Amino acid sequence: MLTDRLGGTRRVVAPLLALLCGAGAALAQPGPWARTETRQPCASFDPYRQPYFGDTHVHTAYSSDAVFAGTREDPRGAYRFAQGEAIGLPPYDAQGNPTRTAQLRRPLDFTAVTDHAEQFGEMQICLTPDLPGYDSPECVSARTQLAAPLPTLPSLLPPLPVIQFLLGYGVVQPPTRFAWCGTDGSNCLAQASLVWEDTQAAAEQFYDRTDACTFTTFVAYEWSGQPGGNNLHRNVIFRNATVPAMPTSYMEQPTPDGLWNTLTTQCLEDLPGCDVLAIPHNPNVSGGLMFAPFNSDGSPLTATSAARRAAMEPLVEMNQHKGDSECRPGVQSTDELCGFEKNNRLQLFSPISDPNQAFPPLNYIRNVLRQGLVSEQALGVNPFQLGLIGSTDTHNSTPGATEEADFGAFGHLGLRDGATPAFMVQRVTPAGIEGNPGGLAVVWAEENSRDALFAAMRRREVYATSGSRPILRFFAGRESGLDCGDAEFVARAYRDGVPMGGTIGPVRGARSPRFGVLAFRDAGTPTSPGTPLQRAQIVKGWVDAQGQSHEQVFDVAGDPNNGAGVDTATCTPTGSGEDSLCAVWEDPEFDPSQRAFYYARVLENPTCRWSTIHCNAQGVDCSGPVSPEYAECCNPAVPKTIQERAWSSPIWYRPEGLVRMRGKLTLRGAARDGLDLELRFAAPPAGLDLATQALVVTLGDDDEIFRVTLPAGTLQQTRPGRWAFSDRTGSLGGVRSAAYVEHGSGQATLRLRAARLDLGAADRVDHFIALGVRAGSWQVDEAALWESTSARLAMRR
Amino acid sequence: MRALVRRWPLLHFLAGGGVLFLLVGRPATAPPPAPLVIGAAEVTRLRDGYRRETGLPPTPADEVALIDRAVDEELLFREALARGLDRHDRSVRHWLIEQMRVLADDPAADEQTLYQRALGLGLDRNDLVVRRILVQKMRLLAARAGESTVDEDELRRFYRDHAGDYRQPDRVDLQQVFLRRAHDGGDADSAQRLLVGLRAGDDHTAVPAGDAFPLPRRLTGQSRAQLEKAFGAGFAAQVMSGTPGTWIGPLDSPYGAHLVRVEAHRNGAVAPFEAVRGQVLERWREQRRRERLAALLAELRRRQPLRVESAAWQQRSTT
Repeated sequence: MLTDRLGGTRRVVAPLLALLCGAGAALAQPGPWARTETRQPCASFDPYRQPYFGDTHVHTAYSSDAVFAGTREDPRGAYRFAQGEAIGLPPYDAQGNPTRTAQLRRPLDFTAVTDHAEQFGEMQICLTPDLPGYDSPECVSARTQLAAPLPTLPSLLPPLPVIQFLLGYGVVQPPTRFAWCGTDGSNCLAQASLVWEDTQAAAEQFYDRTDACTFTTFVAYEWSGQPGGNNLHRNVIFRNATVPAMPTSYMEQPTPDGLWNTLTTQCLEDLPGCDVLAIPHNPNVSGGLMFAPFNSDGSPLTATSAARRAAMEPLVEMNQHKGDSECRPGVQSTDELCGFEKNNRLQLFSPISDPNQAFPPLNYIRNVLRQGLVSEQALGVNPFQLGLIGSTDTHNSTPGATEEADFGAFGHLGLRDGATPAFMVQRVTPAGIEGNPGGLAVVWAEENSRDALFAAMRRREVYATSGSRPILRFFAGRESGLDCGDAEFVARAYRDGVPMGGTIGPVRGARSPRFGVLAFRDAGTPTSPGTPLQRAQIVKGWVDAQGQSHEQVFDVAGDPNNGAGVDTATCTPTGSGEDSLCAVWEDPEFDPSQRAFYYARVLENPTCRWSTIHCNAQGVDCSGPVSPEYAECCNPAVPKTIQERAWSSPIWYRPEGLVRMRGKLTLRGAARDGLDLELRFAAPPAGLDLATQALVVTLGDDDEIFRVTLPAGTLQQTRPGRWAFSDRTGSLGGVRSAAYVEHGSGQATLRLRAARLDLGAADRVDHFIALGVRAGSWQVDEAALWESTSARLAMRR
Repeated sequence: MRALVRRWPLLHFLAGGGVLFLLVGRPATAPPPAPLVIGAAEVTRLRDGYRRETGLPPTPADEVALIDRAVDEELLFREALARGLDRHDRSVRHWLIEQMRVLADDPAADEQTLYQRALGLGLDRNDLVVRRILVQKMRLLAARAGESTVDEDELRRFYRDHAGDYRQPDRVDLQQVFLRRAHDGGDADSAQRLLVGLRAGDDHTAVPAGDAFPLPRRLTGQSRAQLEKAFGAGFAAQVMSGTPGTWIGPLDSPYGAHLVRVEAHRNGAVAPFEAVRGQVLERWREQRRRERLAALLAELRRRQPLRVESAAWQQRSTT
């Protein structure tokens, strides 16, 4: 059995390797990712991956809008909180002691602190007496705001000083720093570099590099562009401690394309060891521009720019405290479950909150995923192949503070929402009654280390939750033996298909691929009991021959009419739900010619929304007179209950995609190793032109196993539909033959054989190996399970 | 000597400070300086500022803290000037030029001229902004002096002194068979039967039975905290105390029932230095920065007589 072989190998190898520590140290069972940092491999490592819960969107006192809301905890406080310690919240008393404290009921596994990089230096200056700028009107008014007695009622908009700080640094184009920052912003940048340095030091201090792997931090920041008021914010997450000398903010690069350009040059190309991705958030207030199908300069997307975009941004934040961005009823959707935690403003600071405005379709991720299919139809590349995560966007230094029961007491915005209990239920932006405690990012990774988590984010094997912690698996592929009664469900699903985030072709001919959904309830803790599941769904989006996109939602497990509910007066649940849900599903309306995506959505039984818990705690009784400051508690437009949920990253179906994939490594040693690869596509890949494009093939686990580049024109056309290369000497990386053939059936095969190789880097255990094939903007990335027998590693899918 | 230092941390501290002082300090050569005066007016100004910023009247303890901070800043400013930190500082130079441009009202003047005129007027000595730039610079310089080189021996010593903080949790490897909770309640019997079968079998690696489960069937390196998060406290407690090699169960979790065989139980050890070096380094740096700054300030106070017109401060200084 598979697991037995793995286990047997591990018992021998693990103790030896546990002693090793350092970059390049092999893992007992390598993941399909390279170890880029010096650390101990984790004692808890599983090739079939474990779910790690975290938050990739956290603000601390290093963000202007957090510190001006009274937050004093810096990134160290945020990491302490994530690990389960209590931290202080404003207001603080004269001796500097907090009058409120917050603590997570369940610690997180990882956190990225993402302070607004635009004003790192400005903030320090405003808070450090007499630095140039300290006495500027902007700093004075900001500090006055800080020192002002607590207002009795919150204002709709953030205080003027905060807006003043945001305008030139995120809204106005071109962005402008305050004059007191000096020539080229030098005074402010000098201070900013100290903040960036400390952000990195804090991440280092709280990152567990021992084999206990209790907690992972990421060096990160937020690029906070909001030109014209349309939110284009992105969180920039670095893979390891090798990061550029300064963050690239909206001040340096006021467009997303500019940000990606700088990240490419400063990190990916010019800084060895540096790796980065960006996670956009809140398309729901982006004016449809966060995922507009054109480049920042207004030119239409091309295959190249779409591929670059997809490479830089593999994920999107599905939900956070400023609302859920999945979909909206009436905006290309009739799905009634889309009305979940909606922000009803066109822009973040718009004074109008109204669900009946003209919301741009591309404010919602499901529509963006559909647009991605439409773009792919035209370009051959999907610019919006987005995996899904949730996060909080807390401005309290409180990562993972997603408990409905705690949100009324803590809030997320310092004194902006938490000055008094009544503040929480006002109609202000971007908080108050319309806000919510946000969600979590869940990452399926082999171990809790930066490399493992980052690689999982790259391959989109992640899911979003609305704050609770259900466990969700989602697979698709041929999946012939998949069965919910099978203890080997997960191993089998990996062997015969792809996990969430992956891509498949017509693997069962014209028949539907098979999908596996496995959902387990939030296990909870005594203080946070978790809620049973109600049902699992699969959401499908597709594009028809006319280029029109569509969607449909299928219930695949559980029961929407299970009768479970909650007594909103006491918040006691009624009825029962499921501890686990499992389904193996085929799409009854599958059309092999239509490109599509599928994602799983799992709903818990209804529970009280945070506002209901909070209003109850304040003794509000809507059947009698209610004081005006608590009027929103009794507003029928505010939902009393919610259904917490999880969304898997989608799996994409491409009609021209992989039908079959086979690989074999023959490991004889002494430079006599061999490689045989065959990829069969349902149709000739769009954009593939071997006469003008070099073909790059790579194989890697924790090391690079094989890499070859066949220059453009190496494969010669020998007859219509057939390109071939053969070389007995193997002068090109050992390649003896390569062929690309378009068959009469319409399918196409790419085959590569190489010999006399040294593939010693390939570990001789069953493990995942990442295969990459690239030509121009066309690419295939498949991390598949390769199984080990005597002198051979083989994969067949 | 090392043993002595380990034994007497204060000696270590003072010696470190002394070395630091010799390296970066500039001993005063002038006759005893005139006392630094924090007059009653200044104390009032400090109190007023505090009241303005916090909306609260300062307590005597607050007043002492405010005065201490003001004294520290003055001492650091003087030290910065004594070390010539104001020369060649881009921020200072830029600021002075900007100020001078306003004062001189001469749009044609070049930067060098403006800078020289500002120095001539002594702007670099009495400008608040220059003062704050220099105080911050002095703080950083003092706190981080010699930081670019890390004394590995000292770092390891720090690690040994705080070894308890780097102790790892106990961990288990386990194998489990998961059984869904059936709605008809008939699962207790089948779980028992399966358990008997597992206990009788000698092949502990082949475990075909059980329902689909999203987590790995064989879990390695699990701490109690990890198990609690994934399976609940009751499950974790029973597994952590399970005898290696024996099938136990059925153990309830929020998901259903589990038959578990603990394969190995390892007691937590102190993490090796190499694995926690980054954490140790940050902690040690933080501590060293505080010590260096405190050492410098203590030395500056020793050299500089003070006269403070505050009863609260006087009282603190005499007790």
